[in-house]
Amino acid sequence: MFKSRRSAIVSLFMLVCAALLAVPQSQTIRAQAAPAGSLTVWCVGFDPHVNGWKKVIEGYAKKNPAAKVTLEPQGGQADMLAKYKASLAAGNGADIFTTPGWDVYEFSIAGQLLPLSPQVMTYDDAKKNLFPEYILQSQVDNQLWAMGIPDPPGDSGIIVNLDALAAAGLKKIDKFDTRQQLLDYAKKLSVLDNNKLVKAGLSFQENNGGTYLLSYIIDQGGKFWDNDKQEFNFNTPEAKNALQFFLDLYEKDKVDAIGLPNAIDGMLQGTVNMAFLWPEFMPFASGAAPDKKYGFIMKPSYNGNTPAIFGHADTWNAVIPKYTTNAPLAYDFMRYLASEEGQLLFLDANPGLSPLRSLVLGNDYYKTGKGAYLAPVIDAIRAGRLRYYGPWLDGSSIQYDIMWTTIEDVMNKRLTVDAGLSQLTKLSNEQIVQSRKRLPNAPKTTIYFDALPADLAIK
Amino acid sequence: MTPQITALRSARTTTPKSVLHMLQVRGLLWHVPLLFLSLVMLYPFIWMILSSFKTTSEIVAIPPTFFPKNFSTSGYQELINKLSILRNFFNSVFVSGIATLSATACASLAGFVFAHYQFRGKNLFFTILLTSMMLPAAVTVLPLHALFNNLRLGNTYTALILPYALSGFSIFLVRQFMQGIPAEIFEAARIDGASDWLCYRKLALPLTLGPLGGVAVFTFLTVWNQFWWPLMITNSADMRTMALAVAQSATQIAQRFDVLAAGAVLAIAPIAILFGLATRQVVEGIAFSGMKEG
Amino acid sequence: MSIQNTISQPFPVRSRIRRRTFRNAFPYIVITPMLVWCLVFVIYPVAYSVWVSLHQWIASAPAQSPFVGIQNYIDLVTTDRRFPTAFRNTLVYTLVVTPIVLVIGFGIASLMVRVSRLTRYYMFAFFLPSLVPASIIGVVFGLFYQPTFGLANFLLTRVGFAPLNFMKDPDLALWTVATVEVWQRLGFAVLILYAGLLTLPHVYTEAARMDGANRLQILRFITLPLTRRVLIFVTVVTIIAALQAFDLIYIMTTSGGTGSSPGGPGISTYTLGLLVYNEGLIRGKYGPASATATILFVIVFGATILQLRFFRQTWEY
Repeated sequence: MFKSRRSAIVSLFMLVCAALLAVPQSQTIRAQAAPAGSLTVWCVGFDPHVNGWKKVIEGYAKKNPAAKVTLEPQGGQADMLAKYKASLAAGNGADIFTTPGWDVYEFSIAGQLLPLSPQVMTYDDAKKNLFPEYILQSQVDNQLWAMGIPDPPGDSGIIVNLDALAAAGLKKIDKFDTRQQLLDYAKKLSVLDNNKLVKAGLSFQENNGGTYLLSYIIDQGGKFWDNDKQEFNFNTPEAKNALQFFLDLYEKDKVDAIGLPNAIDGMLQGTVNMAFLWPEFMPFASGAAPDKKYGFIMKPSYNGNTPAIFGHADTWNAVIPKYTTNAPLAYDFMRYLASEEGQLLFLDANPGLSPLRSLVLGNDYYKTGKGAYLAPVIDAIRAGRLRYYGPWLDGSSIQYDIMWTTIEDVMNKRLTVDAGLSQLTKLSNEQIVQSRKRLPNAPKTTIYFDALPADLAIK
Repeated sequence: MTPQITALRSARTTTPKSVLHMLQVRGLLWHVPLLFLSLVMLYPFIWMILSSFKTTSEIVAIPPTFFPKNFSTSGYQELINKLSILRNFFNSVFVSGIATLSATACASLAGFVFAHYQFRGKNLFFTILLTSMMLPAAVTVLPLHALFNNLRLGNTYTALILPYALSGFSIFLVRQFMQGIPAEIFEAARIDGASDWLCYRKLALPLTLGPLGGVAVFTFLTVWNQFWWPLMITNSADMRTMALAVAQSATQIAQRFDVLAAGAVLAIAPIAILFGLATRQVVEGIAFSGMKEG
Repeated sequence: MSIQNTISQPFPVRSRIRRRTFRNAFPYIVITPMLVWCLVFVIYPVAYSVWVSLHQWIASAPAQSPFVGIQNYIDLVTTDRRFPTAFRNTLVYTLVVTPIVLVIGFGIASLMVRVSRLTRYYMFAFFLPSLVPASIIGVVFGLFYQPTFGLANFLLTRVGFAPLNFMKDPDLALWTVATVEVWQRLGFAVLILYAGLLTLPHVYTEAARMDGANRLQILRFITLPLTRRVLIFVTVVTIIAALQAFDLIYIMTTSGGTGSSPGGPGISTYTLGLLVYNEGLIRGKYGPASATATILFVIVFGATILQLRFFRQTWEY
């Protein structure tokens, strides 16, 4: 049959290749057309999340042994989001995926998600049972679109290196009462060598810095967003004070220097002793720098001696895409995730604030368990200090590409404070206009500056 | 050193005038800057290999250490435990291998055709091939992801291989080689009644095996290092390629520099070895193409 | 054909053009599958990208994307804050990196042809950096250029200079990345140029030296003209790569961790490639991103065609 041995070998080789190519393919096809009983979950490749999901999935398997839930971590946050959008567009991918709040908003407006109400809980129950940010992040059609996973509010406080604290002779407290106290600690934690700062006492070099700015504006009674005009305005005295405070860390107080690493790298490397950093950093760091010990101290309010205003715009959520072929199983799994049992399993690996009010305001986990470090934050929540900033389409562009780059420009003295605030205003509003062109039927964004609305308030 | 290169070298015939000149003529003096520069180029790799045997804290310690003070394989252990690194290695080998075979075979055929035939749309097609070398990932990834997923080919080897089954760069290079073969050879063969395919198989192909080897190595290395497409089209950890897995280890086991260094060593070692063995082929392949003539 | 007829035929021209007849289907058989491939993997993505650039693309639900015509392009050029900086940076970056790579690459290749031993080691050492993915290089050099404990400042202070802020200094950051880009691109240049120089017939240089030409004259009148083809090839490829550069910049200007704002400090290290990447794949604003990508593509394509036209006499097309 074959003209020569060589042709036979080549043909055989091609046959083997074809076989190998076919095998994984058919497996994948089988998985995608699977009957009820299997789910794929995509999460960000971030250890606390991955471990949290694994625990929840194990717990669910005990409850529903017939179901097969597979977790597929998808790498970094940025790459993962690109993938989700592509999957939604293509109409296939995971049955459940985790996404930040801003994307929940966009996906729900574009009609790409399955609403979680009433199958997981009714909308009214959701408003009563969950923290407000999970409702406010998307109120499209008065539905619940996402189930939160435990996540600490980004700008509630400050992470400190406990060994450095001890070395400086300072006591570990739960919250700072005044900004002056914070600066005193910062100055004692700064390490100088020949009058040059080699270890930062208080670093502000982190991309999420913008949210601290927003919180300090509200703390002074100011507003940065006009609910009627749907516009930003940072040209206010409160904004100026807030920005100046952070800038003074470099020039006046000298507790941070531009040449020092950013907050995350610095904390891990030991060149930053204290930083404005999200509380989730602590479980994150236990994997990256196991030899270092970190603590959380709630930040002071701007004027001092009251609990600080803080926001939780950077929620993490689980959503169900519309294309899923196994909605009943997905809903059942979500119900488990939304239960106290499910949340507690997740919390074991990822100590943050659960979206369930009943847990945060009542459970021992937050009194004596791993969540105890968030006690001052919970007190502040009870005192009505929790806020939600947004939702804005392209919220990540505003927070990172606009707010943080402008703050950096001011830090590097390429802009004055006033010019920086004008730039913040101008660019953010331009972004709002551009986003509106993409999804013109997006609902209006209302920010509750003074207090949360009655149906969402925390009692 | 092949006979060709040795022959070229011995063509030097000047007589040395002094010790320095002799050193110059013998080429020994030039080793100084070359050695220095080569060490500059290699230093990051040395650092990486040494760091892969340190703990994260030691890697970022001030002042930096050179040799590991506390020898530790924590990076490698973590990598092998956390990621299915052997599977990823296999994936990379398989995907790069098949893609290289396909791209090289196509390149040799296409190069032959471009060099010795005239056909309608030749220039246009060549322009399209040139364009394929200029497409950034951001342009290609999204539409192709949509296409492959619609065909239910997401997360498969097919999807990983097909975008690299042809390489405009390789066709370009091979065309240059083939142009160096005088057309008379083919004329003579055709007179004797040879078909086009026979011309290619018995004449063109054997004459360009060397350069084709070089092209194959190039393609293999390029496909091995691809990141964006494998990222977008694979969903499960067991379908990922090594370059992708190592890059993701940076975020997944965040800031664990020991893991990153270990991953980097594992990712680069195979292709470094391949290139080390094939250096001569690659150099000669390019040297004896038709490209050199001015 | 009889032998007599063959001998009496005029001697065939070297790259003689074969007449196209429909008997000769061979090229078409070969090219057609490749054309299909090009349709899928080249034409379709480019067309798709241009189509996306004419919309405010909704990544998760493309069918709902509003059509805006060339509004994205207008916005980019008039109001986008980053575009002017990115455009300028792209050109400057390319115009700095390419000559450095060429000059140093040519220098190293020239040295390598003069030595007889260790050439394989040198080739390996110089080319190895090209094989490393950017994600790893970025981290390694990030640590190298770290202002407080990185080796770069350590060496600088040792020789008496003041330490620099490298990646944290808006005026310096782009050039810091440029050094890494040079490090990475050098290998390819050295490889191709070395191969080219290797086969340079020595007769010319020897003859010139006998006639009393000095080294510079030999270089200018003999070596460079004779290696024109490889030089052009390396130039074209390096320029294409440098114009699209983004991954090194991205890795070196973002920290690991969650949200990120690349192109820092501020927006000083943005290039068009990074703008496409950030706006598109990271932020999901594919409309403006595709517009930037199209502009970048036009620049790259134009630059390539220009170079090939310019050197037409030595580079048949």
